[in-house]
Amino acid sequence: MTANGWFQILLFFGLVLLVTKPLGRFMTRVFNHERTFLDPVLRPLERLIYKLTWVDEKHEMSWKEYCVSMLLFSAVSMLVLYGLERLQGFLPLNPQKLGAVSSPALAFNTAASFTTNTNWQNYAGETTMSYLTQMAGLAYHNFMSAAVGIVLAIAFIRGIARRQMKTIGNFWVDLVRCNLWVLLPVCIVGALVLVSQGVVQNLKPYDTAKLVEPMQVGKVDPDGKPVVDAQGKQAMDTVTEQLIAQGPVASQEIIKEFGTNGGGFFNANSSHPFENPTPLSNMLELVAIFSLGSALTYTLGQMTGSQRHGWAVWAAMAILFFSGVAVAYWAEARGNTLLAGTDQKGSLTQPGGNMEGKEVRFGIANSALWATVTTDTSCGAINSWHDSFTPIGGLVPLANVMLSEVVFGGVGSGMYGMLVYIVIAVFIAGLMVGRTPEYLGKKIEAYDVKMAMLVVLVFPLVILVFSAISAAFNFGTSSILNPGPHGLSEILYSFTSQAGNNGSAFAGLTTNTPWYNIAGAMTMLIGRFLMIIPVLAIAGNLAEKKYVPPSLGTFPVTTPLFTVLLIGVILIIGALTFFPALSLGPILEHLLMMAGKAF
Amino acid sequence: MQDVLWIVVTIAFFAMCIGYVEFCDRIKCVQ
Repeated sequence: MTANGWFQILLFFGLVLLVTKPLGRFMTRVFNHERTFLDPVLRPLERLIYKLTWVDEKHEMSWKEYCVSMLLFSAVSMLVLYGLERLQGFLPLNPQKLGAVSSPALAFNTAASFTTNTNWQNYAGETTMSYLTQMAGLAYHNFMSAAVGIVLAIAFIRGIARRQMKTIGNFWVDLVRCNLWVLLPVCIVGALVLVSQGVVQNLKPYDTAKLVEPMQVGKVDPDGKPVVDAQGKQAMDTVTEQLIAQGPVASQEIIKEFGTNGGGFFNANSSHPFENPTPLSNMLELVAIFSLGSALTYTLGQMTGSQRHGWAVWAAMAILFFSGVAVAYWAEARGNTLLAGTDQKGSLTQPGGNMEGKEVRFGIANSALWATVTTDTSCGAINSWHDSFTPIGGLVPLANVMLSEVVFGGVGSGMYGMLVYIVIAVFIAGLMVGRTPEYLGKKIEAYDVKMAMLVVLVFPLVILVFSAISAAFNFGTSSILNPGPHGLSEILYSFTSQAGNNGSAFAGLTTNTPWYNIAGAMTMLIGRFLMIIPVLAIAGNLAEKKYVPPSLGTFPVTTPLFTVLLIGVILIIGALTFFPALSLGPILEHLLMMAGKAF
Repeated sequence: MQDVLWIVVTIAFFAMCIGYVEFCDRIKCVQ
């Protein structure tokens, strides 16, 4: 580890802290329907949208109506994306003349992936998706799925803040205001900044470049499998030209990070120079990933009238973030112990440490930082290959997702995931002192805890069941490219990432197969919607409750003790649930590596 | 044909979710 590396990590976190208060305060004003500096421009547009869509902005919804509206919106959006993928060959904005997404199962997986804010990609964007699909299908979902997450967190916060009310807001109004006031303005400015750094933004056909030196490359069939000759050797091709993919990248790149979506325009995601060309663009994209999740803690404090509680939650997230990044950075900077005797120290002539699968433009500190940030949140964008991390370095992103991505978290989903953990934490605190738990003046009763347990149980259930099936049958194991514990880590990471709606891949697993497309799609849908429904049920139930003033026996949720208890609950639930699986994957792999065996 | 299958699966999943909404609401009544 170097001082420069830590300076960049601290600079990143300082920038996140800097945007937390203004962005959090702005979101409070937007969702409380208070006046903002953007109102003169956006209010007429908002009214026009309601007029065209017959939305009554004064109408307030119960949690059930809010939830059903969200489900219907998501269902229609998913079907439209599926249609776009399958029909893109007949539609405009397709200069490369790409045909339909070839497999219906792949189209289904991708539609589920982008609807759920996961952005798991079993395809390469530049060779599969037309510009129309990228813009009207994928980027549209980047905005909408992010907005859905944010408005659900806001609805939960309203449930805490409201007293004896049966409503938690209007889904359509929240969705429109989130897009118009929060996401679009930041993304317009952010896209222009990225263009200034070299991110491309055009609709032209791909460029062709003549190689200075022709290259011999292994021949592969359309499924990506090596073509072998009669002697069993891989057939070779001589390549003299290279296609350089183009497209409307900047406009998709910024929402990909700001909305914690993570789906790359190109297959190489944020390690591609047209998505993330400079150290400055790298830093801006990192800050964009954390900013909304961090700001929502401030919004929580403001809307519930307890700013200190907002900061106590923020502190729990910050401690978990630094714990993760410190371990990942240490593990990667330390290098590979199997290369003992080789100089792995950073110097003027080499970056040192484990540089396999990492971009030299970003180095180890920025790769470890990105891997931590992208999995603390439900982003899933990558700038290095997690599969090439050391076992302990790779354990950090995996563990982050297993903790339900509540460390600043996916936009909205991190906040409502954290609120569920808070319900469990105050319930446990109540058990310790033998009285009915309270949270910000609301009694936490049996129904709230039952719903919280439904949320907590669905997540490991879907991951462990699908991982176990994949590890037990040939249709699952035949996709593994690395044997032993590393192969199990690949499967486990795949389903964890999809259930957590993260979308980053460990790689090393061929997932464009019927089993992984279908099981993955179902994992993403269950991981998103079956968790959201009980969350909203808690919100609706809390909104109906009377306010109970704090007394001497009330467990305070604004103190360091609360922060420590919250971290403890998160770690214990995560550790107890996933430790057996982790011990057979990355932990065993680390021990074997120390004994001299690699996979 | 497979297209119809995945469209039906999508609709069925969201219909099941709406049923789950009702389930979560009913639990409250049976407490």
